[in-house]
Amino acid sequence: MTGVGLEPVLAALVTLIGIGLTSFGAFTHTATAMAPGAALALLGGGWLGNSLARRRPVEL
Amino acid sequence: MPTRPIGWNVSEVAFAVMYVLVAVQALALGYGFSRRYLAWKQGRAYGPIDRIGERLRQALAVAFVHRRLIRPGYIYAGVMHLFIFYGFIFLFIGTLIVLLEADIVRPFFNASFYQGTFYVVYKLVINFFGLLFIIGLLMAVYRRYFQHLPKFRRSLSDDAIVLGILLFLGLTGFLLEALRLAATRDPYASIHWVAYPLTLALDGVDPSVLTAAHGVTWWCHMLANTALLVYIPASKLAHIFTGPTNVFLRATDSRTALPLIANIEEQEHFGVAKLTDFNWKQLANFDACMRCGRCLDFCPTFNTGKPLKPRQLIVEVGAYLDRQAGLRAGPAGPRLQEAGVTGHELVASDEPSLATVPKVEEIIGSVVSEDELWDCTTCRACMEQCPVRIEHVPLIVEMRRNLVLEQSRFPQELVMLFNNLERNGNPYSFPSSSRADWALELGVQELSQVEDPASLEVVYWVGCMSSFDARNQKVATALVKCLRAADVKFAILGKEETCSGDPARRAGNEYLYQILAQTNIDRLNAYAPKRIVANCPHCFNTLKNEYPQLGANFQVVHHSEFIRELIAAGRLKLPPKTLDDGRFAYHDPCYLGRYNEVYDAPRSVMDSAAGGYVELPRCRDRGFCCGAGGARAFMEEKRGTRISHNRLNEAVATDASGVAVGCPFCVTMFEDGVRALNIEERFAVKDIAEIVADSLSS
Repeated sequence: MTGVGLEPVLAALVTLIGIGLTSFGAFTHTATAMAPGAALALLGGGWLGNSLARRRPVEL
Repeated sequence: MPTRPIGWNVSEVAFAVMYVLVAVQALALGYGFSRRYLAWKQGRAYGPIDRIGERLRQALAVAFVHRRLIRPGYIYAGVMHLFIFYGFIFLFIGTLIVLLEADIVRPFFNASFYQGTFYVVYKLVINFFGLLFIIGLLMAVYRRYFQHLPKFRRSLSDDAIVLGILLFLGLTGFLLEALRLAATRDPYASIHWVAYPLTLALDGVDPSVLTAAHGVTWWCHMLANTALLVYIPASKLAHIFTGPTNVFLRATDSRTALPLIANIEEQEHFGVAKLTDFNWKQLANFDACMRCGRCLDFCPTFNTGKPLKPRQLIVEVGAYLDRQAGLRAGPAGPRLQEAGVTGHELVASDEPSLATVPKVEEIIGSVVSEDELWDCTTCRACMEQCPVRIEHVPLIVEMRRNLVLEQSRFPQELVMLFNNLERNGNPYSFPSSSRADWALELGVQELSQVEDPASLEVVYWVGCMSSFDARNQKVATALVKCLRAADVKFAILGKEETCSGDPARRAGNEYLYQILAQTNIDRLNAYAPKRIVANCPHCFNTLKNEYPQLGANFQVVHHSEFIRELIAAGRLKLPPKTLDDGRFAYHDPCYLGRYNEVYDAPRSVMDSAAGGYVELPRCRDRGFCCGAGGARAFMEEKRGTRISHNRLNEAVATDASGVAVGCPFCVTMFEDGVRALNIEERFAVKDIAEIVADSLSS
């Protein structure tokens, strides 16, 4: 892992928790799990994308 | 009560997958825009970003009011974009409303707003904007692929992907609605007024078939939505974010002044040769282009078949930038050596593109050709038309600076220009001591001869063209006549005047420009002129807008503005004229019009002195260059057809008997053109000062 360290792992974890929550909500019809799950999936996904982008330096 | 079951016919698996796709979309957007940001950060420092409020206002005006998009000549394209933009925005808001109801209001508050009157209004509005969205997209398809505009003459695969996905999303959105309405026999189907006709058409189809079709369409819609969002950062759609960002970041003085190289004596590196030589804002420029091609519409080089096409320059450097950032952009041009041509065209998908170009040390010669850089007349037609304020001219001049100051690579003709400017203080071989010879017979005083310079109303800045060129000396003589007729107390700098430095600066020789400029500033400061009148828009722009970068602060007016003042004050009395006395078409000089927005003063003078004028089809901010700017007046025009002929032919096609200008460079270009086209007998070229002087004589 480069300068971003464990950040992508943490971001992936947040994303997976989000996906897990939404999946749980969908399969058990627990509507209250959907919004927080979606928010975590969205933020986690964005964070993961950002941290993966920073893993590899841009060399112009 | 009117409402609809949210998630009808969507299985638990589908719901779960939908949120996985949300994460994928966020990941792609986060990755793509972060790579872009990291690429921008490789650029040199830029800023400070001042006047935040004004910048924000302009960025929002471009995004939400389409201020720079809907303007004369671009009504179709502007309305098209407006439809797509607001269609997209409202459909997005509509989706958020559904999520709000389903995921927050119902589960957490045990309430519902998605019914009754709200639902009816919501559906009416969403159907309206959905329809607008599709109409806008169809307008775009027609414009790109059926209008056969020269600027879109190649098939654009990126456009096809973008328009295809958006259209698919719009159409499947309505199809989904119609399938559900038909399958559920919704009693309130008619409020979905756009989807309703389709619902009626589906009447009679087996509900199980409709339900199955709905399921398939839902998946297609969802996957297309994901494809779109994943594609955004790597495509022209990135302009959704980068466009307004670019407007916000724009250089606030870029209209008039090129960026100064401060402490030039201490610099070791000049201009731009590599991507990292651009400042980060300039790198952002390349990502803001949406390839609308407006920069080409009034571009003198594109319209006369020269290699430089501003859009292509931006697209190709942008494609190379994206490739280096690890993003695959849309179409790019072929490498020059592969294409075997000088100059670029948009390429079809099977042609080599910059996305496959290996890393190069310098972009000049590999991504941008020198011919492209030297063809630019710096007329600003591209910048004026660009809806997202891409600053093409400074980018080009930065690359010229590198060629001139670091690599000593420039067209042969510029060797003579630079030598003459250094030795004689003018672009020609005339000694500086002869600069005021034209004024001897007229008895015009030089400032050094004036006992009390403070008593002068104005200093007349003659400029090199009017000082040394026989044709333009007549313009200076005419202006002197006007000033005397109005009893204006004035003098000229005479032998103390040197070139303003404009051609040197535009040609990339910033070092020479600063020497010339500083000389003029010191000499002018010694006389502390109240006002300076210049009949050359290039001098006018440089003295007014660029000398302040070196600490000067002069009040400078163009002679058209000053003559208008004199007429308005009743100091210059002109006999009434009608257009029948001679019809002149008025040509807007770029450095007067687009650079300084002086459009009305010369027209007002024409009204007073000639009883009016003929407006050319390409006028004001859409005016067409004469071909002389950017030091092009001192270079051969070897590529394509002649720019001045293009403009002259436009003027000749009107019922005018001549063309009126307010710039000595335009006079020279058009005089040459008139001779080359062999129309001297029937078509005159005159400066507005000459027209006023003629009027005084009559």
